[in-house]
Amino acid sequence: VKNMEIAHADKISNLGGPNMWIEWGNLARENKACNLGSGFPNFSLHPDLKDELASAAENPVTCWYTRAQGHPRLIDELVATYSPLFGREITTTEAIVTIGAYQGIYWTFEAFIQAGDEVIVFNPMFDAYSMDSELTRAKCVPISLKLESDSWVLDKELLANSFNNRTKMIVLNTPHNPTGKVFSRDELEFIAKLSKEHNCLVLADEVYDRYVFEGYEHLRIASLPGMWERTITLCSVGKMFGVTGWRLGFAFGAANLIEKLFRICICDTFGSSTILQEAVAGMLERQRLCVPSKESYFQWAGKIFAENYAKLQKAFTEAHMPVVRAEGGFFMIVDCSKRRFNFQESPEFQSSEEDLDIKIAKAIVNEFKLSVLPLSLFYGSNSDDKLTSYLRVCYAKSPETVDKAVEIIKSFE
Amino acid sequence: AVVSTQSTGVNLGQGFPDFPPPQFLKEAWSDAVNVPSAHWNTRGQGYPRLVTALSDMYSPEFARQIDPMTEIMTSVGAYEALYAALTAFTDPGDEVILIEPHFDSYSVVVEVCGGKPVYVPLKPEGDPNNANNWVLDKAEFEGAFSSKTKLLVVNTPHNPIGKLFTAEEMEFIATTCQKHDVLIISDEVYERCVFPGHDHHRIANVPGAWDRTITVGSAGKSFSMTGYKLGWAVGPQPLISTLQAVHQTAVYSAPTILQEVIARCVEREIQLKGKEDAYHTQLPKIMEEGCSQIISACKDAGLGVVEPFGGYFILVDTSPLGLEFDTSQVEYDVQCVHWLTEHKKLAGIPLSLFFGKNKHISEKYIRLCFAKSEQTLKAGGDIIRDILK
Repeated sequence: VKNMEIAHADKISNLGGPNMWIEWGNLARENKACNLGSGFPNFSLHPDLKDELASAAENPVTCWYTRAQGHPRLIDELVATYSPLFGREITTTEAIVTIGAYQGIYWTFEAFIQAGDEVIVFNPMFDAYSMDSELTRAKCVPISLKLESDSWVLDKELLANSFNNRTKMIVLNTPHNPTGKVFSRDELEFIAKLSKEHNCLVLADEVYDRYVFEGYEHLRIASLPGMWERTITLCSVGKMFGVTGWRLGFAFGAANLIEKLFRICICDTFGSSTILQEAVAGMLERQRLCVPSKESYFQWAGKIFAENYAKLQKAFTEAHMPVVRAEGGFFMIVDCSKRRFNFQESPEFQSSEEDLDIKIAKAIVNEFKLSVLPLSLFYGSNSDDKLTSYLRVCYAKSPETVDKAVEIIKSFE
Repeated sequence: AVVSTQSTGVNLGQGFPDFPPPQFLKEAWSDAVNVPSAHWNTRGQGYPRLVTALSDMYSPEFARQIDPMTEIMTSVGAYEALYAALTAFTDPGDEVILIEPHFDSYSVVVEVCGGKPVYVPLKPEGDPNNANNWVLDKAEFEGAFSSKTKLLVVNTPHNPIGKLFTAEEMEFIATTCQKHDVLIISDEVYERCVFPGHDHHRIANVPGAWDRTITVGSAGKSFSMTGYKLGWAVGPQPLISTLQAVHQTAVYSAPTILQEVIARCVEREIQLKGKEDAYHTQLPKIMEEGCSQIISACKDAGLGVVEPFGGYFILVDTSPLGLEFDTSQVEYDVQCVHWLTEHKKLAGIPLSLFFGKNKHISEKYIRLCFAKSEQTLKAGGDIIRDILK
């Protein structure tokens, strides 16, 4: 057929290949597995969200186009909610609504990164950063976080040595996926210092910003001195309210940075749905006006996540699978090399050349119908120091799902 | 640049219906919201229930069995499907034929990809007051193709003229594209707004064209809910999978909950197909009625119109207003629209904005949107009738 010779654009040559989410999603689905692999909450819709959605659906204006940069009511609410969180008076030109934080990442790369630029990211990482580096023909420079006695450590010397005059941007994801690390003030200040010295952009992916464990604090690098003008901060409605299917996020930054993102916005989507933005504006307003005597959504969900974490930590520990202490976010890292599963005796298992964590995760989903992800998948392809003995487990799930998972873990042999 | 006049005027500029949504939308919401997984991530290429419904709806219309999993992609509005289609195939230096006047995003995206838009105009042949008389000059069209031509975009029903491309025109365009091995993007967002008694012709249905055509559709335009930003692309798997690569990188997926709602709306249309209650039976009549109100007001005011046969828009010839402007820097119609906004509180869109090259054709035309509520149409009609006073 002649059209098979119609060549796709050269620019997208590196895209659309095998995707870990599709592959492992299929495995989970085929096995009807208890799913702690996918990184999104499976709560039923919270009643407050349901109310806001119902009000929005009643409102005729939600059938009409809204402003491409963001629905006015939502932008105003973002200014009200996030100004105190950033410790500054944000203006309406310093925020833009995105189709998930995912599009915020895409826009940032498209607007700022060119072929030959270098982008520093922390390994292990969410794959969108390396994917968008490939898209823009930039060089992705991964710096591996080191696992040292139950915590993930940033090697400052390694980081400092990775900057050069081609470094355009550093991606800082905190709370961190997949490790659960919450970057400290000291680490943020170090990164800020380097980015100022080298005049780099910081992409602060803070989609898990509302969920850190007691004893830890989420700090925003954009609020450090000299950083607002060089940082794009991404937040996620999906992660904060358990509605990843709504595909809504926000990007914050100095007006001249947001303006560049807007230039991509008017090319690819020209804005987001009015109805979901209206519902989210209402939900954010409820949280902002929530009196101290009442529980906010974040407190409610945070308690569930903490309980889930405790249950899973106990179950894994008893199954001889030590848990690396998580500080925030949705994920816990579990060591799968300290015990022997029966399936490891099989000839197929032993002869397979895949990494240990991949083999174990596949066997766990196929035999025990529990989906978790191998940590090694989160290392970029040019990483020679990837860890291959750990699993990423999402504890941001419904209590029922976690209880089921605990039963399965108890049955490991 | 949309000149809109909030509460102090009548906005017949931007193309969105301001009438209440169809009743069944509310019912679809109250059911959809209770599906827990409708609020979670879904399959990036399209929510299964929706792509299945779209396949069921479109298969008879394309006279083929469309595979929902490989030949359909849902998107954040038809806008994103167009972006994905153009970005997936346009390399720097590639030429893309745009039939003008055209919806502005086509040239914006082509240029962002480093491609070169090549404009071929629709020009009135015979009576200019009939949208279907605005046609391509065949020799001029064929002459626009070069060895660098990669893509062509065709839009029917056409924005802004309101023309319906005929079967013969579709065949001519498809054959020329086949001869030059050019990909076709067919923007059919107004496919459900074809006036009663007229036909919508799909270029993908020209024999041999399916394999080189991406057809784009819109829930927003099909169900009068443009604020939902949900659309789709339909085509052969090799093309759709290429669009999917861009879509997967840019947004990953369109909102699940909106796809659940719209799946129900599409299913309803399939069940009620051809019946009075079907929204797609009512919408053409609503559009035709709105259009005839604007035509009647224009004729009463002595203004010329280009009568359309589908879509949301009508071109109005403002020359009878006798306005005089210095056109050395700014086009006549742009100044005319400003004048109308300021002095008559009526917003329209100047036609020259839709031209990349042949702006002289736009002369004194402005575009008005008739996909509006009774109230807006009446208010607009009143302003128009008084315009020469």
